[in-house]
Amino acid sequence: MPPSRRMCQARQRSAASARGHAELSTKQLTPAEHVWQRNAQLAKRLRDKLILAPLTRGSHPAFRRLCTYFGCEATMSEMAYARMILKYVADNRQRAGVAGRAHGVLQCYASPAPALAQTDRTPVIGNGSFLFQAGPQGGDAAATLFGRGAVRISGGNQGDRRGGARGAPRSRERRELGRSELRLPNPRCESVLALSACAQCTCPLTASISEATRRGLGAAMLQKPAKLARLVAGFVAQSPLPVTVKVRLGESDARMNYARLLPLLERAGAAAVIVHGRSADARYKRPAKWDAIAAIARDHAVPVIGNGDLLTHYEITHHRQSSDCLALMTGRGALIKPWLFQEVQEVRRGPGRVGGEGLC
Amino acid sequence: MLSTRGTAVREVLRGAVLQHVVITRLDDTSAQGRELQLTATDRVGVYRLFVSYLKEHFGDDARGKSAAFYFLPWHFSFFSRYRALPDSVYGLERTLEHPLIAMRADVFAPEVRVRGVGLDAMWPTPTSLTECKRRWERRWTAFRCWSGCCAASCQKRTSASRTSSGMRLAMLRPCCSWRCSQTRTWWAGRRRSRALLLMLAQQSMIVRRGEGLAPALHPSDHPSAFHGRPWNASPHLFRSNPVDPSPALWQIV
Repeated sequence: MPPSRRMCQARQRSAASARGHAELSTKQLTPAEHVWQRNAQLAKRLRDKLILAPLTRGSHPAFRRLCTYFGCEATMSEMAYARMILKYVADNRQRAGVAGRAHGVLQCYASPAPALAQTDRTPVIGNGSFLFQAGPQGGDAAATLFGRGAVRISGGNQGDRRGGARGAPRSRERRELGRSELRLPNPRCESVLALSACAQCTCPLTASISEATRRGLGAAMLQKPAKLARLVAGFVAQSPLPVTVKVRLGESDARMNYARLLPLLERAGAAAVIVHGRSADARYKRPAKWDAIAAIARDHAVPVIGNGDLLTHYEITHHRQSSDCLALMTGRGALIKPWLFQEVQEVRRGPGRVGGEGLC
Repeated sequence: MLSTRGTAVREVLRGAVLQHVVITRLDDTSAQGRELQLTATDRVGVYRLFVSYLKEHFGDDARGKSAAFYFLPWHFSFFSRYRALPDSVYGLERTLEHPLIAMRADVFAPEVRVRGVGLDAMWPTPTSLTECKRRWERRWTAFRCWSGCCAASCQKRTSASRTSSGMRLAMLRPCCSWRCSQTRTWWAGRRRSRALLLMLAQQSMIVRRGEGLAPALHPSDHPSAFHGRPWNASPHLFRSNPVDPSPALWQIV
């Protein structure tokens, strides 16, 4: 290696450590003890569920509620760009004295429907999903979202559903933040915050895919597993809730880097890894590789949630039995037939009234 | 059957009416491990449920409509892809051979492949409501569902406001469920003029019975006359193509 190039690398490294992002080390990736405990609790709750995937356009509360009506027990919110949330926070902090309106991105989060919570019969696990950028902005985003109270989540385990997300911020915080309070999909948002590293989750829109990947979000993060693991570790440290990660198998069929990625995510403290069994390039043109998902679930201790090409109840039963997945996740299957959840529930429990007026 | 009067309607409207699909399906005890093969009418019921949730979330006004219409036609593009793939006919082996969701309709049921229903979207049957492939068909279906369905928590089921022509607004936009007694009573007691029926059929969930195609068009109203875009069609289209208003041909879904 020529000396000039070596010097350049050393300079980059020192600049990175000055920003607080040094080389990946084991110490950095070791989460605290309570992280393992809450991860285990989450895995227990999610076992054998069929989860509604985070959809960039389809996961609005009305559709989540429709799926919940048909017996879906775990849903995810719309994917939200952390960058936009931070922008919202910063903007509102600037015009703290001015009457601010909710940012467009965030309006989808203001989900009323408190009256419906009373008629809830099915416990629904609601999850928020955010799309983060790796690097200093990502870590900063996590700190801002949780540390400064921009996102308030009242977990079910805290026993107080009325506080937190639904309640108004205290006056001191309100002064500090301006009107930048952000509400998660609903106060019943349970226990998971998903960090989605799969920009193409169930979004067939090319525009929004490139919207994410050209900023280094989403599937583009798969190119840099160490960076992604650092981000997850920082996020786990800041988050009051367990953090799950959604990934594809790799960038392309030639470069499947899940074997390198999964151990890193495991060490970083991810509560579960949602594996979409395709590469990023494959989009939806090639079938999901369930043998790879099964191998991941077999080889790694971190709970794996399988995702990809699930449309009928017999496929779901088959993949549930043939792989060691903790749970399964469906996106387009639910978009085409929202009553898929009911079919699956019937297979599991036998016929009966399985739907509920739950919220998600 | 619903109780038709008193406050009970309000209470059970959201529950019993909207649970219609699920309850009827689950009465069959042999349903275990079987695909729920919803008929077109059942699926329209799911659309209603969905639209009622949309209205409740986004609001039943112009602003809520514009927000919801970002999602609703898009959802119809997925709903319309539904094909029954029962275990007994298709099975796991064949499905695992062809796992791509996008290709299943072509591989398993090419005979029911739908390219769009064309002008049938103007006088739809339940089947053509659920098979809206083209963009404008999805939009029409979305408009129809939005104006024909009420919010799940709707309390004010009729409005007494009158249009300039003296017609009650609530008649054109029934603010109640499709099973609601008021819609039915009004429909039964009305002198069914053709114009009224057409206006109603365009804006509500009243659809034609049966599975057939739209009535034959007058040659001057062939789709090529308005470039295949029904929103450019003149009122002449409705004048020259008489529609039989007999109740035997129409139903509320």
